[in-house]
Amino acid sequence: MNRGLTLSNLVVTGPAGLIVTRMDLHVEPGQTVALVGESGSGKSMTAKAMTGLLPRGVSATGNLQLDDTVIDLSEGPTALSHLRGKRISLLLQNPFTSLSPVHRCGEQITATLSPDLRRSKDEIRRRLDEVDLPERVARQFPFELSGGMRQRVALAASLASNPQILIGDEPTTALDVTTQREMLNLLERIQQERNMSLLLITHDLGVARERADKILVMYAGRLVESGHGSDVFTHAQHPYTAGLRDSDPPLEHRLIELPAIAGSVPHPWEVAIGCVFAPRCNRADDHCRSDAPELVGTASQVACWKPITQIEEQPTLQIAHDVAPQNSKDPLVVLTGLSQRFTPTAPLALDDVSLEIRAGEAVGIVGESGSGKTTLARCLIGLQSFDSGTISWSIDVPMAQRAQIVFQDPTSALNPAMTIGATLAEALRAGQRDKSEVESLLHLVGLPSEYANRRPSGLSGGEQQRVAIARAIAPRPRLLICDEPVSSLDVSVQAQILNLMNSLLRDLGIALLFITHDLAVVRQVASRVYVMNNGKVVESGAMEEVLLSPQHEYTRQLFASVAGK
Amino acid sequence: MTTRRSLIPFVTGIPLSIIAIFVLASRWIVPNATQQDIMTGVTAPGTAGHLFGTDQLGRDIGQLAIAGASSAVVGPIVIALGSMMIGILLGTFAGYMGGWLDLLLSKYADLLLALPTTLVALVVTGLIDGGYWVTVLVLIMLFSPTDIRMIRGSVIAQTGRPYIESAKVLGLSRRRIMFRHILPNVLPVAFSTMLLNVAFALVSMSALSFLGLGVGPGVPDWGRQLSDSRDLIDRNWGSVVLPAMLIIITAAAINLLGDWLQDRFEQRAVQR
Repeated sequence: MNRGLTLSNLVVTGPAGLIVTRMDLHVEPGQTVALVGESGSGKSMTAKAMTGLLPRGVSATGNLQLDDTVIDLSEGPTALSHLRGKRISLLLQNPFTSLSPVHRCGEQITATLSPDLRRSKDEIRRRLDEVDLPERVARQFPFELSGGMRQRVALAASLASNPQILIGDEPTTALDVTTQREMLNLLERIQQERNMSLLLITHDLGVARERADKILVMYAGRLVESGHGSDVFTHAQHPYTAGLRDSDPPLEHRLIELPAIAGSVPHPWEVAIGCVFAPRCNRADDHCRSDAPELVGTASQVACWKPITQIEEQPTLQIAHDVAPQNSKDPLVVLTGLSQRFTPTAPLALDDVSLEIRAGEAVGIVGESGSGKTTLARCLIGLQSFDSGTISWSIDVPMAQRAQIVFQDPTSALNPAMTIGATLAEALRAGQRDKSEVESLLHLVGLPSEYANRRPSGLSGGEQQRVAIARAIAPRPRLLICDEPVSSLDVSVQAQILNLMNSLLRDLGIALLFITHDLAVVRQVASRVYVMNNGKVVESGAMEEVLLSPQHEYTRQLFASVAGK
Repeated sequence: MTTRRSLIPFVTGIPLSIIAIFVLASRWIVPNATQQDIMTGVTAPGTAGHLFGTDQLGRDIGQLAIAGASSAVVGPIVIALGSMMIGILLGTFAGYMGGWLDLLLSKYADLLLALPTTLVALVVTGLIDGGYWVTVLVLIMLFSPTDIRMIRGSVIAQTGRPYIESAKVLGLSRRRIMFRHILPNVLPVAFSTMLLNVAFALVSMSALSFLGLGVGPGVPDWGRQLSDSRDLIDRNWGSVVLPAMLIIITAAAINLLGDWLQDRFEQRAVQR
């Protein structure tokens, strides 16, 4: 009899302290449950505990029940070994590292089957067919396939043993939006065909809202709210859930300011007493700070002393008009016919790209991986040479004052051996400015002045990105290039950084080139947008026009793929 | 596992600090180490006043070993430091500048690497009739190619990182990027490699003095002591065991400490 999976009283403890605190979870057969949370919320550790894959030094207690089998998790990973990969399967995030590079895909898919089935051509064909892959893939190695195809192979492998429950740990996060949609559709179809339970672990609220029957929200190792489908967000009771919902940038309109949650996600072991969210909550009182609330409720549950009630008025979001492109101003830089090919056999990374950026204007470039958007930025800033075309600047200033760049990963963008102050002072000197401005620069990006003495390792990801932005604006460049500046940040922190960028642009009058794969994010920042695909600009125009009436087929496809918006 | 590894600094620190005291203060601890006493001759360990016995010249084995610490340890430290300085300078240039300079320096390193260390040291010091410091110099040259390669690799790994690209975009000079930005991030690895090199050099130097090269006659040194006492092993086993043990313990302790440091730095790099 199939009764689904129940996880009760899960506690995960690491070397520094608690990682997951008293977690309960139930997935019915054929049901999709989404576990939503930001980094450090403990959602991945929950998946690892359920499959006995916890890293060294991390242990779990609690019970896992699958039908009539009850497993005491404190018995260690061996207790789960006869379920893992058989009745419980795990699909991981990165299809580039989760497959073995030296084995053919066919072998990897059937590795868990009995020896006589393992070599059966029919079996392999059937498995590939289920995930919509052609038969030839069986003889190919993972590196010969695209990311989306690899993830399908990984899915086929995790389905091979016909599991009752599939745990997907961010299974579509590493994929492009269009591929992501196909993958989610495939997952849904297979799940229905097999009446399989699906536990979907994701940081993407849109994916959860669109696909899940039940959503659980985790914060700092605790379950803070759970409920049915998108109700969890539309009628959020926990202030964190509401904050998460509001700080997720909308695609339909531009907001004057994104409602951000102040501060950043704490480590679960740092929270000693009281509600985990209290330090960042604007509803918190002394009670919240001294006593931890329990999860209460029947249909929907919430762990909060002062939950948001239905009658309470939802704060109205201030919708702004998209900023009209400033056609009157002179172009700051004009790119004409830029082309670049990395190796003679590779396709063009940039194919006759022309674009212009006007002084003080915010321009967005939207495209998926491999579209050439990053190559374009690197050519513009001089980190990359190009085969043909011209880049002409209308200003005659030193390189450092022309353009600066902010990268995606803030951790590797700062020199770990230098203090924040030294990093900023160096950038100021490069722009012939005085290093006494370090303090005002820190204030400008919303950091206290004592951060000057810290090293990057002592800062959170959002704070590091603020420093990276401060360094980029230090020489007062005329153009700021941001290459996916918020895609490695948590949603609540992403909103803070986007607000910061908008206010900097307003105050300093710097032009912005914002490169992203995320349409909703670019809408909040840019007034004009270029859509790139396969090294070409396929569409361009004012933000509102492109969004309202996309002309090119690819742009339309991109819009259709955005989940849950 | 974690707890056992965390003991390494203590386990290695105790013998290493005792040896450091021997190196720095042997002239005060054992001022008469080389004093000969023909009348005593060879005695077994445990003879009155001689814990480890004496050699055929009546010198106290224990005192001799304490006095021999400095020539056994100072040379290897100089070798490791010298070869790392060459490694940092050439490795950084090769790694950051790339192109023909990298090719040239890498080929030079490959060439040196192809030479058998002990054999070349034997031939060169034998040919130019050199003493201790010539041996040290030869070993610096022979140790440097691995350091050049190691530093070059680490520099290349850093060069691709966004913080270096940001420095380039700020228009900083190449010298500043190399020595102010890249080098501090390479130094931790360089330091742990240097420690490992001290251990290797200690064994190499001891082997060379055992073969009669390196320190001059009469100068106390572990390797020399070992070779001098070979014939006495049946009359005084202490004369062989003590210097041999000292070489092994020192080399192993330094090696362990270097390994431990390397792991620590790697962990820190991951956490970043």
